[in-house]
Amino acid sequence: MIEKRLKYYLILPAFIIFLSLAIYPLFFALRGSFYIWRYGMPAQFVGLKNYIDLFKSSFAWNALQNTIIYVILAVFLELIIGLVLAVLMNRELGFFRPVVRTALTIPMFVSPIVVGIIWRMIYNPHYGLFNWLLGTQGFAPTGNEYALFFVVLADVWQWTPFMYVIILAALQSIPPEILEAGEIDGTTGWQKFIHITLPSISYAIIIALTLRFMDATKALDLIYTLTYGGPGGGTETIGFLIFRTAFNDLNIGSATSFALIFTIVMGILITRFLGWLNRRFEIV
Amino acid sequence: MKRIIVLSLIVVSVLLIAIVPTFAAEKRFDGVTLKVFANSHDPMLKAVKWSVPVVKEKFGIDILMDEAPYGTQFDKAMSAFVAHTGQYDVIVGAHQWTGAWADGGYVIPLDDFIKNDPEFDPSIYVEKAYQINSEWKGKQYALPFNMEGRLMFYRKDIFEKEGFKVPTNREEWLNIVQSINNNPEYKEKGIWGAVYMYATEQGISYPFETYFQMFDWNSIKTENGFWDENFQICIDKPKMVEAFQYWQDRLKDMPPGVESYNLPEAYQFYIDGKAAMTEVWPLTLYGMLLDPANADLRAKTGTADIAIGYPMSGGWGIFICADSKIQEAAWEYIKFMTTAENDLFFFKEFGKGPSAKATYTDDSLKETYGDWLKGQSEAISKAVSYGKIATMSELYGGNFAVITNQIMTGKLPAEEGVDKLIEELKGILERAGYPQK
Repeated sequence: MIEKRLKYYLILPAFIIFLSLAIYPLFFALRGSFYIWRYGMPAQFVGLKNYIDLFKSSFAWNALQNTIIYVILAVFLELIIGLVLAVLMNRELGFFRPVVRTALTIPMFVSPIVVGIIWRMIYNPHYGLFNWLLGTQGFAPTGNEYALFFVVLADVWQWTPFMYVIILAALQSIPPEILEAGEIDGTTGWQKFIHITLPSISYAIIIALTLRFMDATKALDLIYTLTYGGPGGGTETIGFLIFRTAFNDLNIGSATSFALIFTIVMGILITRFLGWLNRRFEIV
Repeated sequence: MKRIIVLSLIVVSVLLIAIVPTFAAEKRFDGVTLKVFANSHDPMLKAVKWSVPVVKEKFGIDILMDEAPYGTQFDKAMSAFVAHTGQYDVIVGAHQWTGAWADGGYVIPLDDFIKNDPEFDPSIYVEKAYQINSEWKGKQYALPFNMEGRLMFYRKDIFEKEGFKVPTNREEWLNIVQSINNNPEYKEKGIWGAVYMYATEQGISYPFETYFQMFDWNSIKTENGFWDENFQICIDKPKMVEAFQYWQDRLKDMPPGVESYNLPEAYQFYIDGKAAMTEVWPLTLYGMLLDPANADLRAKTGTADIAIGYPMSGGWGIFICADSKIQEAAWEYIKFMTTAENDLFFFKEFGKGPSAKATYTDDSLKETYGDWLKGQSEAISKAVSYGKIATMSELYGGNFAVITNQIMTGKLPAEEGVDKLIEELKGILERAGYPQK
């Protein structure tokens, strides 16, 4: 009898922690989303008003559009550049290989807040490296309608190494016999890459893509220091909007409803994305 | 024998060292620990840090310090207040946070302390500094700590050479800006007529500055021209549209890229000698000019009243938190930190914005700060406040500020933008507890 119950006793501490740190806050947040709940003011029940306001808010739609552009562009560019770098670094480069390999990972270890400050200097219209490279004077990459693309560029600089490291590790785990067998069968370099290398590392690519996808959708810290969502909300993502609503406006009720809807939408998107990958490549 | 004498002397010394403190006068707040939440702005932070050993020596109070920059201090304090952690006894805060803290009951009115303390004399402060930092709904919630009002900095050498007079209205100001911008000599040197901040964090893009700088402030007669004394919206829509259109048009007179300029970029632009005029928070820019590396530019720089409208005030006060169990000690501390003597000392040593009248007239400062201090005094006496309602943070950092930035940078037509701003303001006032009729 005791043995039968033992398993329940053993999972009880973990269950209590899970209940108090995940389930309870989730329901607390859900309840809060039905209130006008502002720090320092009495909460007022408003039903679905926060949700209706969210769907009517031009700021929310603008943030959603920016987030989609940001995520697709950043993750796609990071994947392509990371893949190219990994393939290049997988070759024999003699003495330089360890040095270059290590150097390529450095941006990933810099805090996003610091990355934002560095890129703010790089983009300075009068003293920045960016204008110097272009040979221009007074061009403000983050001061116009294309600001979001320049924020993406900073994100790509920081997170391409993440893709590169994971893909490089996967490339090194491909058994050389498979590649040799391909060569014996007379495949060209490109055919070998498309039909042997790429399928062999696809599981790593999917993992890297999923992790970066989830991370990029919550982009906040880089935007906070680089543009603060400006100009005119041009770089405001969902993550930034939730942050602004909660910690600048102190409208916890609205921010909670934003966050819940965002979590549900992202959950659906990621599930469908993984499902599609599974059907397409049969690897997940 | 010698050894015995030396040994005896050591023993006697040790005994004396041990005994003497017991005879030392007991201090009023011995054993009390005061938790102070300071702002990371360098001059204010240095002043609070300086106070740690001094207050221990004077009152016996131990100070436990925390600090945060402007961008995060408000919500960090709010989190502590809402959770009633009792984390802070005293807090250095911006005047625009007063309503959120006072209406929530998180800071206490100081009126009883003021009334019952014969040592305290509010007449030592500049009246505007005392009122802005922080009088709210007829009660005093803080003592003024750091005060500054927007000033115009201009290049005396350029003005003298070109025969310009310091502008006193927007037409004169614009004439000078365009004359410099169109002058091939300055063009070649990369010098612009003026530099302003058009980016989102702070500056001209903020509605307050834009709107205020268009009219005679006395005609509005309310705190900030957005709402009246009953907290009903009183925006002068045509004036506001005109203000925004004016600043939208001025983008073409500004250095390219100014849409991404926040405070640091604008300060640096002037320090690098690339602008003939700028209007900024004066303490930081003047601090930069005091750097020996900028001595040449400092000699060429003059300060004056801002050319358009009324200057904004940047005011910081010291509040006592309602959760504090040692409010007597807290009062003693904030009183000490804002005395006329310390105000002068903090300005001289750390560059903190003076709040006491005596600092502005102190003879020892005339040589180094002469014109600038006079200009500051005048700017502060006319300064207007952002406002202090509980939802102020939505006004200067929420949708309201985003819409303003959209208008300023030409993404939104002024007329349509102002309608959106009025709609947004309705919500802000209602959330602060002031239903709109």
